[in-house]
Amino acid sequence: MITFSLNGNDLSVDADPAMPLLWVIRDIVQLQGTKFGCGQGLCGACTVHLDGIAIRSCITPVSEAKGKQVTTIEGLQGNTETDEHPVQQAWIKNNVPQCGYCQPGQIMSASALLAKNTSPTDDDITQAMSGNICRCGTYPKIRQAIHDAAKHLASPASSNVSTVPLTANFQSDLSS
Amino acid sequence: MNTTTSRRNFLKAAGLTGTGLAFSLPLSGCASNSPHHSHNSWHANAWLELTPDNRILFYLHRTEMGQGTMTGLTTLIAEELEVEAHHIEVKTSGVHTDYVNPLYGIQITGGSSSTATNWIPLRTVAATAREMLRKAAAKRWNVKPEAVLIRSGKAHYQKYSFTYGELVDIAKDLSVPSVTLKTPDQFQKIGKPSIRLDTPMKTKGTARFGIDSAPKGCLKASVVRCPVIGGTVKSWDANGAFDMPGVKKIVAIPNGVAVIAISWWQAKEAAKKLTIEWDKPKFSKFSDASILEGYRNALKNNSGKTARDDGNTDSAFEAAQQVIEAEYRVPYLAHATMEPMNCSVVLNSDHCEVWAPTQGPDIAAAAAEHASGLRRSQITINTTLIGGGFGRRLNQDFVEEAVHIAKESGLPIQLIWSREDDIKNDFYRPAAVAQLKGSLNAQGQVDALYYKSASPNIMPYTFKEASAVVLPAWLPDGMVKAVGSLGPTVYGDLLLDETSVEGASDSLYEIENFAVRHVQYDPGLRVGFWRSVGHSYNGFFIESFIDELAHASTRDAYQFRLELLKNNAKMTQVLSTVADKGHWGKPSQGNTPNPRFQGIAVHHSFKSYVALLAEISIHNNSVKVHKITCAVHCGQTINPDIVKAQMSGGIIFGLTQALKGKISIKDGEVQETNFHNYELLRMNEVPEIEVHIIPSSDAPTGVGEPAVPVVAPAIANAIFAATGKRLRSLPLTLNS
Repeated sequence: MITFSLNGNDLSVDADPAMPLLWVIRDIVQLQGTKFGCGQGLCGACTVHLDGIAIRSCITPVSEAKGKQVTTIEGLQGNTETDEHPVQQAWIKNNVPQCGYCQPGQIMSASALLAKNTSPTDDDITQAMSGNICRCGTYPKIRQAIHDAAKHLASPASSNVSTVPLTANFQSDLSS
Repeated sequence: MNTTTSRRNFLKAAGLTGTGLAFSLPLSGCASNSPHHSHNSWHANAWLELTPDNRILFYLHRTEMGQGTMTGLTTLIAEELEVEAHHIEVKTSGVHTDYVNPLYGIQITGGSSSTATNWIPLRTVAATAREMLRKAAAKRWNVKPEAVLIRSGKAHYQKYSFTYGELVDIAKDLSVPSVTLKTPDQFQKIGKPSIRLDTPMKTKGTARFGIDSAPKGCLKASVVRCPVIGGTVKSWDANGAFDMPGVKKIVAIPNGVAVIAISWWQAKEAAKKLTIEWDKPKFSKFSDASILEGYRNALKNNSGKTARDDGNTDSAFEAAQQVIEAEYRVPYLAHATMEPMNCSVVLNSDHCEVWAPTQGPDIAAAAAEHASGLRRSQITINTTLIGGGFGRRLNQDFVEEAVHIAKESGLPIQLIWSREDDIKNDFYRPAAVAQLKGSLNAQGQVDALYYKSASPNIMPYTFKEASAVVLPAWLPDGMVKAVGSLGPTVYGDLLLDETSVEGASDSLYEIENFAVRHVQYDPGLRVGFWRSVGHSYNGFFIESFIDELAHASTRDAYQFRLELLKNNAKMTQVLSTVADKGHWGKPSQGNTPNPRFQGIAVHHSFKSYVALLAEISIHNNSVKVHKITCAVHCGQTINPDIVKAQMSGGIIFGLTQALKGKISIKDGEVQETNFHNYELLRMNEVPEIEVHIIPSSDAPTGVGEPAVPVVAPAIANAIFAATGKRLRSLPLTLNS
């Protein structure tokens, strides 16, 4: 049994220590927000936080998570439906996603960047985000959303990013 | 606009005539004939359902793959139904003849066609429902319908109001009225940016793609395929794979061996143990050099099919002052959608249920029917959100594989492809080689343009998969296969495949003598639709060659194009917009020592007009793209933010093609495997991108694809300006 914390909950899994964390999260714990893209740490779709650091879960054996804190996209927002992480709020305000498949990974990379650098320059953003591929080409919006989130983190009161209608009444059979 | 919606005319407007079955479907009321069933609801038609508890359901019949169709089409409904788009519940429609794409006769999402083909039908559907609600309210209040105000999801009369739900019972029995659609000046929602309906779920990680849609209890499958596509299993040995942890079963399917395990990682690990002997296809004799030789021989030895023959190019060349000739070429390309191919199947003796990220659910149904041996009526296809399409998911090979695995194993399974499986088993964008010849008269004007290309046609591959959808369901499977196999004959020998020459045969350049010919040459690597299809390379060929002619005539490349398009207002408008906004002739200085250079291109595809100006510099013999200025004329925008995102995304897709994309073949095997050797543009390479939408209230045209064709030529033209080197093959590299 390998024990670690996932999104704040202690968890023990009976898995091969070599099994990548990605597949433990997706196939055993059955949290599906974290995506499989390449299996080689090349695209960033599988990015999660390990003790706050952005890592590629597709090439990280679950044994490396032992005793540590793992955060996935599902654990990024607060406890309520409308309590999005500032990065998620900025993503929504900027309408960042197209197909959306890479976005959980992009958001995890962006939130890890902002956790250690609250006012990143364009170069900082480029450096932190170039491991995440987006085939739809949402990069310009990603950059803008990170700058917006940084502004919000600097002075949360002055930048109200929640003025847009979120999921209030919208439902779709394409969301879980 | 006055639209009479008698049922017959409505169906005609919706492009649903000629499908027989569609006529038997009523526009209103009868739930028993509706593709969707629920009690007490009003099924206004195949798209809209209103319930007594005031829910509005829209059955979305196109696949959301990032292009924004969920938001765009729901906005069309919201506009005429006088509700907010986010108050409408979007459901996937399933497969039904009502949902056929009128451009193609099958239910596909492709060809940048979703907005254009639904612009009138969906607004008519919603406006019709709105007027029936108005009449129902009038009946309840015993007033004239004109006295009823429909606003904000309610019917109002003086101080009274009804929700739509309260009117459903009466509305569903009313006759179908004629409706007048709103004019652009009356639009409240169309043409205004809004938060996409799928943004929140895609930001929170709750959006369910195909890979997330396996029903509970599904085991995971990984397939080992022949290194050369088209090979079949001669013999195989599990070689200890059975004893690997989690493995439940190993089965052979026509094109490989599938390992089924509890976790996909276990299946993949166990699959590494298999030893398989293959019967390799003829294509295993081909490599890059022999393929190129084949193309050149085909061009030399075949006159090909005529796609265009204006004036007389032969005599024009004889009389010409100056003749320029060049050979251009592009490689095969993979789609590389971020979500790898996957499909879940639950199969029993009389039913096959499929969950697939597909752009063609009815083709998926045909594939499942073929693989399962069941009848069409026993197949259910659940279309999911898809993590990128770009044309790849118009082919249903992954569905066919998954159904084969479920059938052979007798287990509910989810098949997931690795990235390596995905890059090595695509339906590739065709490689193509073109000969171009142009002539200038004494005034430096283009007298003649001759284009002749060789490439594999896509249609034979499409025909093979899609023929089962359009053929009558009662035809025996063997007959369907026989007809499907006619594709290569029909499109190779008899018909021109328009997709091979599009962008050249329909070029808008006003050239008196203009001929376009195509030679079908297919070494055997399967090909498919790749974002902008034939335009993706014909744009590069034509727009680079026009630039060559401009330089030969010593004229300004922008003015030269304007003159050749002088009777086309929309082409002129996009060209002059990028020249103006992008400061043509005055490249910016930048803050680096290397000077910047500009290139320009213009192209018409999917009924839209696009011009693009690229600004680059050369550093250590490599190209750096600094800024892209783009203009598009695409008619009325539904959501301008999505249009800009599609253009910007198409530009980045085009940059990957221009600077990186190449599939190489050795002994029939695709050499690229993952993102380290099939690279996609990353954030550090993305230039500043500026998109200008030409304001218009014309009917909407495509935006998903039209940005792609102009990118590579604009950059190649800028490279010529910078270095004097004309790069005539993709990807653009200065060292070769």
